[in-house]
Amino acid sequence: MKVTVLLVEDERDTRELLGRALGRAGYNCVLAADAAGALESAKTCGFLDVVVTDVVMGGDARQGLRLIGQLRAAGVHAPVVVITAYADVEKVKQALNEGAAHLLEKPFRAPALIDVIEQVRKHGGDVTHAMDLALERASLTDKERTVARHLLNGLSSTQIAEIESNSPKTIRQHVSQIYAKCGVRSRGEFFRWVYVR
Amino acid sequence: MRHAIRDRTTDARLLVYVLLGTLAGVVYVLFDILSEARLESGTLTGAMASAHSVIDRIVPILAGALLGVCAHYLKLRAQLASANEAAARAEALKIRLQRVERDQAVWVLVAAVLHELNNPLHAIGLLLDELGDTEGDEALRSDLVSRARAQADRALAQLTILRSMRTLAEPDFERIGLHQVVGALAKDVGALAAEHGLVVQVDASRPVLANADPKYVRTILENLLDNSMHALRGVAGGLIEIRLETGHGCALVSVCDNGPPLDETVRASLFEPLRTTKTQGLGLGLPIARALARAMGGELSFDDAKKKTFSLELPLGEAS
Repeated sequence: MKVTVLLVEDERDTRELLGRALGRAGYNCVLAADAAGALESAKTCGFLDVVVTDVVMGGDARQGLRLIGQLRAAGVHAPVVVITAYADVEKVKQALNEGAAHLLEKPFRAPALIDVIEQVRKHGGDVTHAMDLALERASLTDKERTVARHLLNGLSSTQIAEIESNSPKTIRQHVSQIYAKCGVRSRGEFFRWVYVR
Repeated sequence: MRHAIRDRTTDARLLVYVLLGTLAGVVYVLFDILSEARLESGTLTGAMASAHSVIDRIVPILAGALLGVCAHYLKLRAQLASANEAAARAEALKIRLQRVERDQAVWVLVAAVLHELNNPLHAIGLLLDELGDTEGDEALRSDLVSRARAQADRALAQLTILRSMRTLAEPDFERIGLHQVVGALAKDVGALAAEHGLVVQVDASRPVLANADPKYVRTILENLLDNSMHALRGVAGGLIEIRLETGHGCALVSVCDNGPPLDETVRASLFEPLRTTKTQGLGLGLPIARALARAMGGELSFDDAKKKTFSLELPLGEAS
């Protein structure tokens, strides 16, 4: 399964060339020219492994940094790599506070970005992203994914049945299907499978 | 230097006074001895005798008062000297502050140029890597080469700005006719404004001389006019007024427009770098403009009590 990277950059040359280089390196690279385009892509392109965004876009000195919060609000918890042509202390501070996983200063070459992407894939995501990532890799159906999230939030089958307006029996069937797909036999093993990989 | 000469003249005058005082004292002593002798011999008349006794009492009082005046004078002189010293120190500090302001303007510009230089350099690196990976496809190669050229030109443009900053770092203060600078600028900008349906009105009826650097003044005013034109985009009957006047010992150029008022947040951070409401640029125009104004010993301020007005104050040139 290909790793999906969302690349947000307003400079056409940089966007296209980095996109091409990432494509050659085996990533599925989704391109966006601004924050609005990025949020649109995040909705339509499925699971995102890593987001790479420029800071200054279209004359807006902070657009890329605000995008981090907007992505989180839209339910995207992927680690964000911030790329910038000029990193002053204020910018670094804001990037850190918004929750960026890495700040990369221009000029850099594609291999440097790929190194950073690999690094943040390993260490940069938060718990929510780890959960999203695990459920994505398990090829669950939408319904199974919803049930799995309830499980990971600590709800019992009866409680899940109530919330989802299903019978407890249906929910139990979904749960065994989830366990089968993940190759686990109990809820404990399932937690371990999701968070300790 | 002028202070030293004045001090020497005052010292000479003081010596003359002291000599005159001593001479008067000697005359008094002679008069006293003479009248004493005549008093003893009984030849002094009644009027002379009473004058003698009055003078005998008054002179010591006068001498005491004179000593007091002298002491006070010396104290005042010491105070004046320290006041002069403080004024010289204040002047030196002012010059240092101006230098700091100018350095700040240069720094803000350098930061902007650095930012704008990094982007093309970054793209050129990526383009070259891509060229290295592209074999055979001639159309793609020539596209990449022409893009690399365009990025190189972009980098060169930034270097040109960097080069022009050498002159910015060494301001060239001279007595300039503000009416001429404003007139020339209004002529250049007027045509562009007319294309957007805007009117630029200049009220510079009489010559105003300022002690300033014409390059700085032009940069500042260009910035203000550019902002006004941006604010008036889409405003029917858009009008930019440039007024020139003198007052409070300074030359004043004000630029106001009838565009929509600024909202509170924009107003609060108007002169802070990297704040912008435009879709182009980095929000460095006004901070640079203010730093340049202060580097010339002037000020750039904003007021919207009546009309949205930017005021540039500059030190007056001598003949104004």
